Amino acid sequence: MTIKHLRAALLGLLALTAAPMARAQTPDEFYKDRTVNVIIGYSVGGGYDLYARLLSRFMGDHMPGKPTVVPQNMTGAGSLKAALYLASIAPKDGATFGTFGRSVVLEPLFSGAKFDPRKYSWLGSITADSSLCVSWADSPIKTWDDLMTKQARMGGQANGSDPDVYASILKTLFGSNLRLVTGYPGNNEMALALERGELDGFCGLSWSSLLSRHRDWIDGHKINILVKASAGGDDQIVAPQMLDKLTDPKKRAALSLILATQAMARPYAAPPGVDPARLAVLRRAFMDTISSPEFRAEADKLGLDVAPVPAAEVEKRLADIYSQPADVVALAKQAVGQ
Amino acid sequence: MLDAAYHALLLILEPMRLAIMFGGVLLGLALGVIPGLGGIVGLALLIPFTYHMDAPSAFALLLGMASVTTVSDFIPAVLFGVPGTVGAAATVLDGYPMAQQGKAARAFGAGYAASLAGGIFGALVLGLAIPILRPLVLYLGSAELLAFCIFGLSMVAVLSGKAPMRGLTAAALGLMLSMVGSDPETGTQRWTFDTLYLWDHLPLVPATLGLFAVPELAEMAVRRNFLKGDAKALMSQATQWDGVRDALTSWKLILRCSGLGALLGAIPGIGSAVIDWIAYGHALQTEKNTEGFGHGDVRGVIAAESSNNAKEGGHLVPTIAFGVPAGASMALLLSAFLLHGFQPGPEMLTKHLDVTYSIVWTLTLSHIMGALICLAASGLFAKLALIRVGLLVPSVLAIILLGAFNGSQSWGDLYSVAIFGGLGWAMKQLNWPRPPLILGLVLGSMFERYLFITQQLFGWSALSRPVVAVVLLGAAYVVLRPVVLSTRRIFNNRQALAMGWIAPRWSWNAGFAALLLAIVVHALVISTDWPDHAQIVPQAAGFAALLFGFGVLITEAFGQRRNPMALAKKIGLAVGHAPQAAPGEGPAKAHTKQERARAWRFFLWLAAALIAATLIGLLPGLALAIFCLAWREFGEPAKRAGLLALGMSLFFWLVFDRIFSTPWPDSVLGDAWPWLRAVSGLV
Repeated sequence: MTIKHLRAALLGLLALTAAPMARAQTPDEFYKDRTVNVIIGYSVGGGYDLYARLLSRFMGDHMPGKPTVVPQNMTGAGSLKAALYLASIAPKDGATFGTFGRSVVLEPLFSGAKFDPRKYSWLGSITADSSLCVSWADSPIKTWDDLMTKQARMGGQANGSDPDVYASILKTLFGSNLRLVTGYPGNNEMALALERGELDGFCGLSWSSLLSRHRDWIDGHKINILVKASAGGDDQIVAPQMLDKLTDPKKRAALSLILATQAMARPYAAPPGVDPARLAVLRRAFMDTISSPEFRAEADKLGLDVAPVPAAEVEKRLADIYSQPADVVALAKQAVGQ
Repeated sequence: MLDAAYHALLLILEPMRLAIMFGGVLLGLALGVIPGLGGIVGLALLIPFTYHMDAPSAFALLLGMASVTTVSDFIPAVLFGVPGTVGAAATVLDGYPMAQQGKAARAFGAGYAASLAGGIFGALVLGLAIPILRPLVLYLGSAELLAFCIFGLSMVAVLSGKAPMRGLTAAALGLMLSMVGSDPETGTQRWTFDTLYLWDHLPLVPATLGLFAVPELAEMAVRRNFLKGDAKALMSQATQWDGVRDALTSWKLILRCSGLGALLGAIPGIGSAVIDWIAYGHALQTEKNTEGFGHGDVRGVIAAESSNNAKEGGHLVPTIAFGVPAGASMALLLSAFLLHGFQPGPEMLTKHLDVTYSIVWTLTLSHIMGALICLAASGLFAKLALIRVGLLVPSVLAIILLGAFNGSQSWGDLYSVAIFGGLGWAMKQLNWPRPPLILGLVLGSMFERYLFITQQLFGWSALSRPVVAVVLLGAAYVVLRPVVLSTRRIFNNRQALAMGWIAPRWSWNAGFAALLLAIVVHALVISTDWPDHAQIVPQAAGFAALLFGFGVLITEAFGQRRNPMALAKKIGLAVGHAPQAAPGEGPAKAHTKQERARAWRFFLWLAAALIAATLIGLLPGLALAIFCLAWREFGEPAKRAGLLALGMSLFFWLVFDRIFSTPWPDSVLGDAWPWLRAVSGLV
């Protein structure tokens, strides 16, 4: 390498180190011509993905500088990978945010995952949701009482997945006699097993998925909704509320802790420590987008439920969850089968 | 119904839709050629563009793209021994030797014709099955899925060739590898070593590329020779027509393999990664004079390609009828259905029958387009055959690494492809059959899942279900037939086959078996900590691996054929051809000392490329690796090597960064200077 080359290389390096010392930008300048990445913790095709792609389609128009919003799937460990990525690795410049499973925020309590969901720069949630236990119409399991007393064959996917978690709650907190048949690859396969008569029903079906994926089940009265489990605000669903069936205060507290995540069913968060001005932009754009008529119309077409939950509400719920006494957390952990 | 079919045909034949489909087909062909890219990334890319299209146009674009990736994945498989998608691995077995013998054009002709026939067959099955689609799928319960899974695994017996012990060991290892990850029943993290990467099971793309593509590439780097003959002769239209005629004469084989492909395609979980092997095994078992299989028999190509293309029609059956995606690409297609307001299920067979038929027509027409384009463009691909090894090997290596990285877009993919690459190379050199490993890896977790569900729901009464009984009988036939034949052969050739025992003796093969055994024992020890239910299947697989592996070790270290020449003569094998070679395994001739050194260097270069990627980012690291490999290892002029590195990286950047917005893995450089990452997005 000659001296000339060396000098050129040094100059280049100097230019590179100078780059970050640019003056403070306004959000408008920052987002102009930028690509905003939306990290999706699940593979393409599922509910979380569908919501995130819909959001990405419209959100750019509601931001200053009209950036391009690009959805990116980062699958792994039931979206825990994406949650960890957002918590520690993802750039904190306000050009990356993402979505993950609603119950991932409980992982630090239950499995000791190393991140603090309270520290995310929360944008909010597109909707609140209810988790249902359903049975096929011609199964002998037709009501809550059947679910408690008879040996219902309920489908499951894996320890820690929603169907297994709610089946486990029914067994530990309510003493149900149900029999969990676990190992199905996904909700679609369980739905088929129901139709085939292989199973009586399954739990952990979210109301929003029922609407978007199996509308005909409701319209054609093909299923019984045995129980709903939510953090409230779901009067349109005709079924007993799971929490109302419990009287013991400690059990109620444990169940409430688990159900609190239903209030942030499609959560969106940016990494911790995003600049407040940019976070304000993101939050406003998020709420504006999901409240806009174009977004609602498209969501309606896809059968996606929209009931905006602002960031402050998510933060309040999380603070609540993380202030529960240790014995309640322990009982909740036991209830979900961890 | 015929009305709907006719109406749908008119819809599809509208010039605008045909043009859209043509665009999809072109993109699909391009994606199929690049290893690691395929229908899945294509769908993810295209679905947003269909927001504003009507449904038939959208499916014309999406399916036009998705269905032809399995037509063009054939090209790199034949020319370089690198399968373009996981479904083309079996094609390599006979297609690549054909190309090396100067019969690439013939392989191309036969492959495209078989693809076309398979694709149309799949579409036909879907079209004809529409009225009975739902009862058909409802008939396939968990017990039936388990039975099909066992049928798939039974093919190990055929695909192990004349090395049954090694094949069984490989299959058991594959089963063990498929158990890596979160266990479906108890949620136990099995053999994950606290990494998130292994939590979701080993992705198939890096495993397939490692097992089948890396060893061929290493061989190319070692031998330094490439296709024989000049490009013109390689790709002459006349020889291509010979290939088409080959396919026509094998029409019965095409029908059987297409049927198998469409049927297995309809079963969720049995993906394209094994369908081609099962069809290949079927051909091996049912065809006459199969000695040439694995050494360039055109029927091997025909079997693999026809099944691989027929599966798309099968895949759509459960997707359309129930919204149960039969594979990853179908899960994406399902989201497209929902996006366009269609609920897969009964409505698709009544209210939206025309859309369903438009899908059938799209499958048919896109396969015709794809095959014709490929036939016409063969001359173009012939040019690839002229590229010198020194430029080809570095480029293809970089493409393989990038393709593998697309498996789950994490560092683990790169380690996987390297580790499986080493394993595949060792297996190839030592005459261990590789297909059984893939069968075990793909079907293992599905087997465990449905085994537990079936056992809980049905118990032994599962055996009384008619489909289960028939499929299991089929599996028994597949396994027992070679056993019976070989027992008879042994009985007739007692003297020739007699084994003598000698003092322990070192051989590479014994060493390899011992290494595998050590790994298996270690894995078994780890597994004792798991809950009972999480232990059962992995330990069963582990003990099977121990048993068979030990058998291999004993015969390798202590056994000696008393009469090798007499044996070869008796069982009708040409002397000099390794008697225990499995299909497609075994180098044609032993390596010289210089060539062995080259092989070691190849894997060192591979490791160096990964280290460079760790330090300065994947794309810059690969650029550096291409440059150094071409320049230092293959002696290309520095200027040319530099141009190659620059050109390839630009191409990679356009495809992977700009088009597919790949999230690049983190590098040391990017960690040290985060702003560099923010600016370039590459490190």
